[in-house]
Amino acid sequence: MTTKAIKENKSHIQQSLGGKIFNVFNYLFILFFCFTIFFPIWDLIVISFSRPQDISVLRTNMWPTVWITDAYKYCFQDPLLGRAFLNSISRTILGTLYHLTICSLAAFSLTRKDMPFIKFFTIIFLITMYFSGGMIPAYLNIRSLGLLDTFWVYILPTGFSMYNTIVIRNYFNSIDKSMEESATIDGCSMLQFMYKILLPLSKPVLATVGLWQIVAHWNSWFDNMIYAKPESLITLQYLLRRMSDSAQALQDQAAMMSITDQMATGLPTPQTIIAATTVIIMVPVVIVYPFLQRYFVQGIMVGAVKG
Amino acid sequence: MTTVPQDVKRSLQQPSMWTQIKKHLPFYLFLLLPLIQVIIFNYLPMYGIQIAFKDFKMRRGIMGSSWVGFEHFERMFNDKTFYRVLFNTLKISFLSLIVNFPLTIIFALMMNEVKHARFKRVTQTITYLPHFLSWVVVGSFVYQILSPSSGIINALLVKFGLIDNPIYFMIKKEYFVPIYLIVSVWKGLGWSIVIYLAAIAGIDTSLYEAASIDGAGRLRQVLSITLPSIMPTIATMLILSLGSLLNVGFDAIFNLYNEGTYEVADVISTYVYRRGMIDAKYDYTTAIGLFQNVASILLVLTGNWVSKRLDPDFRIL
Repeated sequence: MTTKAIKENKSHIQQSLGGKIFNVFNYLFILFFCFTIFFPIWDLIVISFSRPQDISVLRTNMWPTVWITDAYKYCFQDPLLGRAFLNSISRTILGTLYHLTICSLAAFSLTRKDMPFIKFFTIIFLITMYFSGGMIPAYLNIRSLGLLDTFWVYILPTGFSMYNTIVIRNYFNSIDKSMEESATIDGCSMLQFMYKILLPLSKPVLATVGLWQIVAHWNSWFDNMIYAKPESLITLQYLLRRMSDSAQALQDQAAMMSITDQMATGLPTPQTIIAATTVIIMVPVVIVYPFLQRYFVQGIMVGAVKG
Repeated sequence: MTTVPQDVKRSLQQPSMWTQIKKHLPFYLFLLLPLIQVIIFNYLPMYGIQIAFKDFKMRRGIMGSSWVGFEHFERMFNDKTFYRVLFNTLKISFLSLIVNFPLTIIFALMMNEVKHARFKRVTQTITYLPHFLSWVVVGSFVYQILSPSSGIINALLVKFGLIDNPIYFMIKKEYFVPIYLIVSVWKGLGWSIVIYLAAIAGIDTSLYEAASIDGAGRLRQVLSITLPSIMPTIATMLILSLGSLLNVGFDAIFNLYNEGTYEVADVISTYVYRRGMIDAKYDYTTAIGLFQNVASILLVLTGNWVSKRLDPDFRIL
């Protein structure tokens, strides 16, 4: 206690001028970096609540002249957006559960070091980390499996990841082995042991990998673009991607005339609609994320330290 | 993996393979689902790679199409666009590596110097955030901020008289690479320091105490304790990123480029997508994909081999 106090006191005295300047610069830089993260989000929020005529000019004000919700009204009336929301939510939930099931099963088996052929199976799984068929063979495979234009194309292909499996396995390895022995003596089958004892004990790592997967599913758009053409299967990210594409095309073709016309009618323009859609997509992430942030790293840290 | 003593004891008793298999029967059943999963979604596509050596016809299927040997690879090496995308790929990934790698380490050290716990926690949470936003959303940010009609950057430049007319940054070739680099640093920096912060947290604090008693200042401590202690992590991360030199993120490029910037922005994966998925040149683009895949593996293996030479204990896994 006293040594600590002395040390702190000493380091306080030793704080040189250079150190102080560094501190100020350091804090300012980090604050500036945080500002650059807030700024684009706020900018889009402002646009999504602004009147089209207020944001069609070069402006530096970071507050809407008049707050209006037309763009949001338009978005929430759009049946496609509702459909996309449902699809994104369901692929996220189902996809994550499926992924966790497959990876946990593989990870549990990979904790067996004296199981015959386990090296062989490990190599089979490891190869998938370094080598893949590539974009086109993957597409042809999905096509020949008959999964094109089905909802399952979002869930099944992302079912396994060796990296996540290793993270989960490291955590499993860190759990006391005597737990398993006593469970087996009590007549517990391996499956029962897994879902009654092992998985509940591994909540931190399952939360971590689960969150990674939730984010990956929520943010995914490429599989939508190449595997699932029907409107009924559209997801939020790809909907936004498509909207930006067509808005850009408008700008490129200098079809500003129609936009000016639209502005005169006071209807939301592609720009405000895109901004509103982006905000709608971000809201779940930005609101939920700070509360879950620590889980994103927690599981992997424990696994890495003990494994 | 190190064997525990019990394993040694057990292996002395030499149980027959059959008893071992019987003992692990449930685990073979557990493996069934993951194995089916990887066979269908990882190994079947690998089997499909053979169309790189075939004249692929959709109605004939992978098996039925006739072999053409290395025709597609010959075409690839005579394809001017291929050289352009290969050059762009290497250029963009080298530049990203040169920019990202030192910045990540510097930012980790800066964050580590923040002693105010609450400030540290809050700012770290904020700086992680972009990592969890999709490239579609980030692309939408970038197009908005740099927009010639309503973007803040153009507004400021015009206001301060630096330019007379707004610039449409996103369709200008000369701006693509700088924009890409800035945006990818912005998106990844906060998250990429996590691994370094973990490594720094593992350093024995008595080293710092001893150093400060000996009169070492903060900079001296960073240079003589922190940096050398995280060197193994730095080396591992460097080797891992060398292995992915040929894999510029498809997502990032695809959401930032457009027809105006294809010439400088088109990388192998985006080219494969456009020629393969849009123009339906399945066999040719599979050959390009295979080339990229094999070259990447060679890079990873070389990196692994070099690092094993440098440090026998090195393992990526």
